[in-house]
Amino acid sequence: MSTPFSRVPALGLLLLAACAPTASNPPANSPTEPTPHVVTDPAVTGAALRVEPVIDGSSVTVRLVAQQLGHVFGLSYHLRYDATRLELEAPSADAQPGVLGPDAFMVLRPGAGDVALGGTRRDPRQGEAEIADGTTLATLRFRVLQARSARLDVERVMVRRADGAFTTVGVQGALLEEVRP
Amino acid sequence: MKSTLLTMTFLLVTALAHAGADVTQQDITADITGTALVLDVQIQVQSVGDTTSLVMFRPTLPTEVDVDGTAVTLTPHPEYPAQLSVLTFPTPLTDGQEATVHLAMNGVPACGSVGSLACLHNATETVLLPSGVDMAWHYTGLFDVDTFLASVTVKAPTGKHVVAGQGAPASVVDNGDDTRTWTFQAAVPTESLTLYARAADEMRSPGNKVVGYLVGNTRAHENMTRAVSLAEDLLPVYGALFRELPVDEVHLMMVSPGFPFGGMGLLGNIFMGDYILDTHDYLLEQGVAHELGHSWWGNLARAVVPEEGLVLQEGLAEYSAWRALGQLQGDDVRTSGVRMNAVWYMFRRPQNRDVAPLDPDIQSSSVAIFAGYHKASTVFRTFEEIVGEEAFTRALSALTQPGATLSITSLVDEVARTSGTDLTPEVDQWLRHTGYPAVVLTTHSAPSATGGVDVTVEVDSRGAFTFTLPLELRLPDGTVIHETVLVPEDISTHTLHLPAAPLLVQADPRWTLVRDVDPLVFADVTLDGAVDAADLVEIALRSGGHLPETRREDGRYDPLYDVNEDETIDELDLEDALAAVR
Repeated sequence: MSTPFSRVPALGLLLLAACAPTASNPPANSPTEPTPHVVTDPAVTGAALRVEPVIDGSSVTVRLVAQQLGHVFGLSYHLRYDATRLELEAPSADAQPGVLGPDAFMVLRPGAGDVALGGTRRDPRQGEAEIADGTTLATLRFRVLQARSARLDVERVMVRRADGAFTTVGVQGALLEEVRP
Repeated sequence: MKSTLLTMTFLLVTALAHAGADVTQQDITADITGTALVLDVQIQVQSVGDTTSLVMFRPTLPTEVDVDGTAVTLTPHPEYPAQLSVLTFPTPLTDGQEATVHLAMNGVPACGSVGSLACLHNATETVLLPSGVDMAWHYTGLFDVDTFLASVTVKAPTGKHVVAGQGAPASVVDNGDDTRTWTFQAAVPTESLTLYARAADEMRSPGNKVVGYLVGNTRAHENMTRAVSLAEDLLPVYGALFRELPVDEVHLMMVSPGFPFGGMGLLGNIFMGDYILDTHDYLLEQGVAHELGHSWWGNLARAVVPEEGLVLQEGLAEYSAWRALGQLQGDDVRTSGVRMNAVWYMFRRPQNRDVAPLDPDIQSSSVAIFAGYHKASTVFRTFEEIVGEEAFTRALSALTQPGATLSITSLVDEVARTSGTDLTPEVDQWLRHTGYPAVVLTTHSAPSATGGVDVTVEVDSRGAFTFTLPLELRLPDGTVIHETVLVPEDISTHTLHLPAAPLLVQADPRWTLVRDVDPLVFADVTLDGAVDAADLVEIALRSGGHLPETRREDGRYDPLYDVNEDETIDELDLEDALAAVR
C-alpha cells in the first residue's frame, strides 16, 4: 500500500509519461547495438494528421493517418523528410486510397525531401466526404540512405469544407532513431 | 433614372431655357377612367431675369395652353420641332415675376408607337414614367436640375391601386360612381414625377413601410413578399449610411410586359419589369437594392454635370446597393456583387471597346454602361478602400443633404474634408482613363535571419495604374494576415515578414478593385509559388463558375481560377492544374 508521500512522485511520472514522446519500438539496453525505433511527437487533440512510421530493416513504411477530420471537401499537405537520409520509393498506385470519393482529384508529387499530397472532390455541389478517425490517407515507403536519425514531418496542411471553411488541423510528426541502410 | 442620352442632346437648349424661367410647383390632375387620358397641369413659373418664352418637351397629347388665363399657342422649337415646343408668354416676364402656365391635355396616348419606355394606358394598367421626349405629360426641365414641388390628384376606377407623387396617398376618396380620387404630394423637390395605376394584388412588408403591387403567379407573389421585406430592411441601412428617406411609404410596382427595363427608381417609387418577379428573379434582390438606391443617387442628389450623370447616379446606386446588401446579408454577398460588376466590365465589352467613365462623350459610346455603370460602381468601392469606410460614407452622406451639389468636384471636395485624402489622382486614373490593371503575381517564402519567414511578393502590373493591392495571407495555424502593397505599373517586389510561410495568398479577395490577377506560376492559384493539392482545392471550390452571358448575372466567375481560360471553371481546369503538379 502506498503512503501519501510515495503516491506523489508516482503520479508525476504518469503525467510525464503521458506528455513525453512515445517510442513505438523501445530501445534495447545493449550499448553496442542500438535498435532502430520511432519516437513520435506528442499527441495532439482534435483534428490532426499523424505520421505513423514502421521500420522494417532498411525500409520505412509511413502511414499518414487522419485524426478527427470529419467532413472534408479537399485537403492538401506535405510530408517533409531529409532527402540525404531517406529516399522515397516510387509510390504505388494505391498509395492514396480514395477517401474523398472515387472520382476525386488526388495529388501525389514526390520531390526532394518533400511529398505533396492531398486531393479534392470535384465540385462543392457533391458535398463532402466523411473521413473516419484513424483513416489512412496515404502510405509511402522510404529506403534508408544513412545510418542516422531522420525526421518525418507533416507541413502546410490545409483542410477545407465544401463551403470553403477551413478546418484547423494539428500535426504529429515522428523521429526515426538508429535507422540503418 | 433619367435619360442622360437626352441630357446630352439638349444640352444647348437647356442652357438657354434655364436662364429664363424656374418652375417651382406643378399641380396635376389626372383622370384615367376612360380610354383617353385627361391631364390638367398647373405650372408655377418664376422668371429669372427677363423671360419671353419657356421651352418644354412637346406634349404628346392634344393640349390647350393658357398663361394666367390668356390662351397661348405652343409652337415647334426651330431646331427640334418634333421633340420640343416653345411657349411664348403673352407679355414678357420680368425678373422675379411669377406666372401660372396651364396645360390641358386630353387624348389617347400612343404609348406603343412613341417608344416602349414612354407609357402604358389601357383598361387594366396606367403607367406614366418621367415626362420626357417620348411622353411629355407635365413640364420637365430640359435636363438641368430644375426641381419643383408637386401635387398629383388621380381619378381612377375603383379597384385600381394608384401610386404617384412621393409616399403614401394624402387621401383616397370614394366618389360613389365606381371611381376613387387619390391625392399625392411631392414635398421633396423633384424634377420627375410618375404615375402608376393597376388592378393588382397589394402586398405589404412586415413593418408596413413598403407596399408591392403585382399581378402574377405564386412565384411572383413569393418574390414580391421577399422584395417588400428586403426593401424595408434596406431602408434603415441606406438611412444610416446616407440620409433617412424623406417619404413615408415605398412602393414596388410590377409593370406589364412591354417595358423592356429591369427597374426604375424615383424617390421610393420603384417600377419593376414583371420578369424580375418571375423568370429572371435572380435580379430581384439586386434590382430592388439598386433602384431603391436611386432614391439617394438620382433623386435626393442629382448629378449637375451631364457627362457625370451615369457615373454618379448609376455607379453610386450600384455601389450603394451591394454595400447595403452586404450589411444585411454578409460581406460575401457584397463581394460577389462587386466581382460581378468588375468581371462584366473587364471581359464582356464587345470587341474589347472601352471608354473612360467620365469621358465627355460617354453617352455616345456603345460601351457606356460597361464603363459608367459597372466599372464606376467598382471604382467607388476602390475609393472607399482608399479613403476609409467611415470617411467615405460621411462624404457621400453630405452629398445627399438638401442644398448639396452632386458632382465629381463636390465628391472630391467632401472626401478631402472628411478624410484629408485628395482623390483627384484616383479619379483621374480610374474614371478619366480606360482600362484596368492586369497583375501577374507570385510569392516566395524564405527563413528570416530574425526568425519567422520573409515573404517576397513579386508583382508585374500592366496598365498605367498605381494602386494599393490588398493581400490576405493564411498561415498554417489558421492566422490570417492582412497586408497591402503599393503597386506601380511594371514590376515591383515587396517583402513581408511573417511568423510562417503562408499556405494561401489571396490578392484583393474582396474585389475592391477592377483588376485581373494571374499567377506567375501556371495554376498556382494559391499564389504561394508552387502548385500542389491546395491549388486544386481552391479551383474545385469554385467549380461551376462561368463568365456570364447575361448582364447582372453572377456567374461566380473569378478569372484567377479559370486555369485554361475557357470562361468556365470546371474539371478541365482541375486536370490542367493536376498536370502542373506533376
